[in-house]
Amino acid sequence: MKKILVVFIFTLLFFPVTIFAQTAKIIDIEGEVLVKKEASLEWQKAKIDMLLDKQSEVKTQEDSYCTLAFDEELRNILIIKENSHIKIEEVKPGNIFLPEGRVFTLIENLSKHEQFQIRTPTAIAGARGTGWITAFFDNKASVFCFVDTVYIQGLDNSGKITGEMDLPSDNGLDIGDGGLFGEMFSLTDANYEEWSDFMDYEGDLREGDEEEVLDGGSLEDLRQEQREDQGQIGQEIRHNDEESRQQQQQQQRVQ
Amino acid sequence: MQRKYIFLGSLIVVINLLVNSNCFSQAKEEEEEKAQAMRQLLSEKPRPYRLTTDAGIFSGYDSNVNLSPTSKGDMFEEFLFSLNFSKRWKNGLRFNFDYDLNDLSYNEITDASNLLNHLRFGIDKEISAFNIGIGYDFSYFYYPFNAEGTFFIHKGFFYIKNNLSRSLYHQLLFEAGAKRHTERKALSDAIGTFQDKELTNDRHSAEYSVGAALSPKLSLKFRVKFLINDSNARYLDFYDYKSYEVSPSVNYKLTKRLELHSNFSYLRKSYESRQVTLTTYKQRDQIYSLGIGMTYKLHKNNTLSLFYAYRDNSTPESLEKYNDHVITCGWQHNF
Repeated sequence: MKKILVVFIFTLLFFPVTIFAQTAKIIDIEGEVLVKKEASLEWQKAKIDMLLDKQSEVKTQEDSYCTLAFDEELRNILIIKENSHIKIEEVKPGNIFLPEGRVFTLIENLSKHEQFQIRTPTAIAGARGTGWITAFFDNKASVFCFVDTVYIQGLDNSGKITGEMDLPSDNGLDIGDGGLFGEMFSLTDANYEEWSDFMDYEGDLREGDEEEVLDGGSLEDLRQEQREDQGQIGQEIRHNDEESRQQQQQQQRVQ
Repeated sequence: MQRKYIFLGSLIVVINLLVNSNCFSQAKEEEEEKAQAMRQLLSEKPRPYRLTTDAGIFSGYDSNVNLSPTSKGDMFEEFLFSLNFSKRWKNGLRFNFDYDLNDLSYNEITDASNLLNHLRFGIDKEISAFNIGIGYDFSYFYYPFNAEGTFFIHKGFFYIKNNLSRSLYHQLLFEAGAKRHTERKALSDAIGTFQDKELTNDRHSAEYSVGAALSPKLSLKFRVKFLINDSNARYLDFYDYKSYEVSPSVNYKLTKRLELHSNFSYLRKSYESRQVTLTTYKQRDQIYSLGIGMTYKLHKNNTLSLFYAYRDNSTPESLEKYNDHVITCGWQHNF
């Protein structure tokens, strides 16, 4: 029994990716974000680097957001915007339930047979690799597709699929109560601006602290260097003056 | 029985390999290319590189411009332009380039006014949780009203950074180079006498730093630096010293827009041969620096700042004792 345990532990240590692949990780937080790791547990304050398993829930308050990563390379990320609530139904492949609020999804790295899905009470939106926004407010789901295609399935009150369609890029769609598809609409400048900000933010997450990397030559250090150098000429003059003064004093004593 | 356990262990290993075959994919390069293609597709503004530029104007008062025992203060104005460029290449390599133009002008003590041109470039590569980089740094300080003040510093650097987690890193940085004056001559065998050669300082340093984001609002950094300066000034090896510096810093986001900054530094300089005037013991300087300030984000691209810095050279050499206060306020734009 002990040996089985040793082999098992060795396997877990040797393949740490196994752990990450089966959990989502909180990589960024702003404002008030709460997490419930299991239905029976209390809500607790979310922290960066917290690992979330299946059945975990995340809630964001006013002026808050939370970013989850589903892989180590940050190629599959989900941002939970303010006043939103999600539940992780599956981590791999990603399956998120959004009963309220808005999430931004960017999926770049799934294997051939995997899909990432966001489920609301009236619709499912999913893809293998693309970026989209899913929102659910006042009993209506809205999906905004920015690149490639998102597939959408309408859901009735009992969770049955009522219809299916592919939403092409640059379009949005509302899915109302009972899974009724609305008219497809074009995305607005405001939608693109928001998406562009999200892409910049995502780029910052992936690029990391580049400024730290170049920190060795920071302006502050250089300015200190320049100040010290400035003081040196004065030092030489003062030492020279002091030596001349001492020589004069010696000469006077001799005389 | 033993064979059973070995077989079981091997089975677990094989299953893991099959389940996580993505991680050991032979076609890792193909995946990278696919991901890169997807990234291009996903971004409305394709970003094969990252470029940020900043410009700022500052004004303030310096109570001891020349860092001398007889403090002479002056108002100053400062202009800053910064450009940062970063581009990912194949095989996980990244190229970084940084340029700064900084003009510092004093109102009355014009000899101290100077213009800094600084460029720094290098390449780095991520290997697992490590980031290894190498590069070159060049700074040119031009004094328009004081030809003897003009100098440049050039150095090569190498660093290893280890990201212990998303919020904690430590780094080892090595630098080697020289500081060279363009007109100021090196001291000869007596004070007040000079060689034909310009003053040159060879520099080698090693620095260890740790940075941590303790919470979304609070971040800390701690740095230790060891430096050896070897100059060609002959009189008492006037500028030859070894120094140790310890500097912690703290940043705290009070609100979404308002951030507080503070840093402290203790620098100990031990001169090789320079002696305290009228004594026989070697000179050792202890320089204390303290900085506190705040930045306020007016909106996404505009930031106001207010900083106070204090510097004190606690040395047994009365000819070099000084303290200095600097207050700076300014506005910075990111575009």
